[in-house]
Amino acid sequence: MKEIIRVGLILMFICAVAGGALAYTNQVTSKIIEKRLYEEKVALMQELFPTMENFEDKEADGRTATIGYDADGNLVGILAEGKTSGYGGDIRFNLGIDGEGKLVSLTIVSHSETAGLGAKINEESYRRQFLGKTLSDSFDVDNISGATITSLAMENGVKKEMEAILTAFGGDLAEVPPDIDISTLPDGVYEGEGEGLKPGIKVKVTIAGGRITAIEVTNGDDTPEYFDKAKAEVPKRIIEEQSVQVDAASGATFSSQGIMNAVQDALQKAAAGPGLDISALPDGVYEGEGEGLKPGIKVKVTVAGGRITDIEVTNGDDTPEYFNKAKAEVPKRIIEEQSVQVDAACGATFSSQGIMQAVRNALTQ
Amino acid sequence: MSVMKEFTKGFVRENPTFRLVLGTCPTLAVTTLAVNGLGMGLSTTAVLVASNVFISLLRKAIPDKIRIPAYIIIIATFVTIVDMVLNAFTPDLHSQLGIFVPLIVVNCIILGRAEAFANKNNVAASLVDGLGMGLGFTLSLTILGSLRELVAAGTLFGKNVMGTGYEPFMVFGMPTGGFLAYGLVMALLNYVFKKLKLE
Repeated sequence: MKEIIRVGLILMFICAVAGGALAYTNQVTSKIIEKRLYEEKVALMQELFPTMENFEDKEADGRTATIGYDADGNLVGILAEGKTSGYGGDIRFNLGIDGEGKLVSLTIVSHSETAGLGAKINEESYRRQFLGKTLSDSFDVDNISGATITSLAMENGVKKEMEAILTAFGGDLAEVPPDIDISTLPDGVYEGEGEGLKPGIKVKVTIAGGRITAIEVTNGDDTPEYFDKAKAEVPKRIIEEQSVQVDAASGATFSSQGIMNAVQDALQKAAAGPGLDISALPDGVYEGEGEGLKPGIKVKVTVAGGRITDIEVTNGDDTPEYFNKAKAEVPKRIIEEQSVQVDAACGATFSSQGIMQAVRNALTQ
Repeated sequence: MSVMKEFTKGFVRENPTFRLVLGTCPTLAVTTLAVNGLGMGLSTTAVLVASNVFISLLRKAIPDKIRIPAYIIIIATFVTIVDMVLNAFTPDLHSQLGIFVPLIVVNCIILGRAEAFANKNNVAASLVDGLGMGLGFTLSLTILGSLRELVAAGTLFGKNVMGTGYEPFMVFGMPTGGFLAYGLVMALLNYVFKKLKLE
């Protein structure tokens, strides 16, 4: 019994000394380490987002991110970590996203992919392929040969995580522009162009009563053998489904895609409405409504002497943080340029679009 | 035993990797590149020297019954201190050695030398033993790392030495190749030892 106590006390003493030595070392080194990590982060943020003036760490949806702001407090960049399941386990990566929702940096933090195969995700030539993409782009990049699972994991993971990060921290950067709502399009015949295997596919799309009623393919330079298949099938399917994303004609994928693109182009023109001749408008105050992130943006537009002289935004239900930016910038720009197509306020794309749409609606009624 | 003999025994005669077959786990894990082998070897040497000296100093104070837990505490403390100091003052080196440092704790060379040598010999001899064994370990790891890097990537310490036409034999960069390289070098050494009648 006495022996056990003696031995125990000696062991306790050794532990106490070791603990003390560790505590002291930690106290000395932890400040230095923290300072260095902070400096590294500052340097990285400044390199990724040159216009950044200050940044802060934010937490949302169980993620942390470092958000950079410019001198005016506009969001210019987000740096956050994401992960995906690769072939050998989790792949963790850092994503840098700039103020326009573009991916500007992708670095691999850790992975357990096979050396020489999946591990090539760490090579700059692979990672570079993702840079410059926004959420509305395809993340289909060149795969690493022999590492399909890793490659697919990266393509899906980077996009998914980027979307999640933008949803959590990026405000309206996360929204992908909505599809065109065919039922709201004005009646008429619209022409559109698309590219199949070769450019120059032309279509005439007839819209009546909020439906696509006819599609005439007027030109196409793809090999007739394939193009005719697509021409016979795709317009029929589009009219049937009232959607521009339909199954391609079997054996004629590119031509089919080209026709779909051409129809999409025509619908976009329909949505944009006819060209607007402001100078021909009689004087008066016009009211219009538009849709930003949310519907219900209302404007009063004053026209005098064939010019837009004043725009008053009377209502808007978008997040004030973004909407106010758009409200401050867009009417000024429209009046300056006498055009309803102006640059969006930086960081408030959808609210800006909404105001432009409202002004256009006011003037076309 | 002379000091010189204590020092040099770790290189060949009692080489920890190839003769005593100690620390095989970190050996196989890190020797994918020559520089990794060198880094792991040198950090192990630093810890080995420090723990040998301390354990030799305390060999009379530590009762036999609790020597193993006591050694482990001392070794773990050293490793953690080395890790923190490297991180604070030489961050580049730390990020290079990052994965090796925690591996040193479980490296049985260190506990093995504490048990087999430091608790029976004086401080000076233990220091020399730690240094010799550590450098011997470093040598073995660097040789294995160079061999594997050369075959798997055609480079040596990151520099291309096999020419551009070399087709890398990638299996040597993977765990399988670790065992192959380890086994081949050990077989060669055993053959040499037998021929020279060193055993």
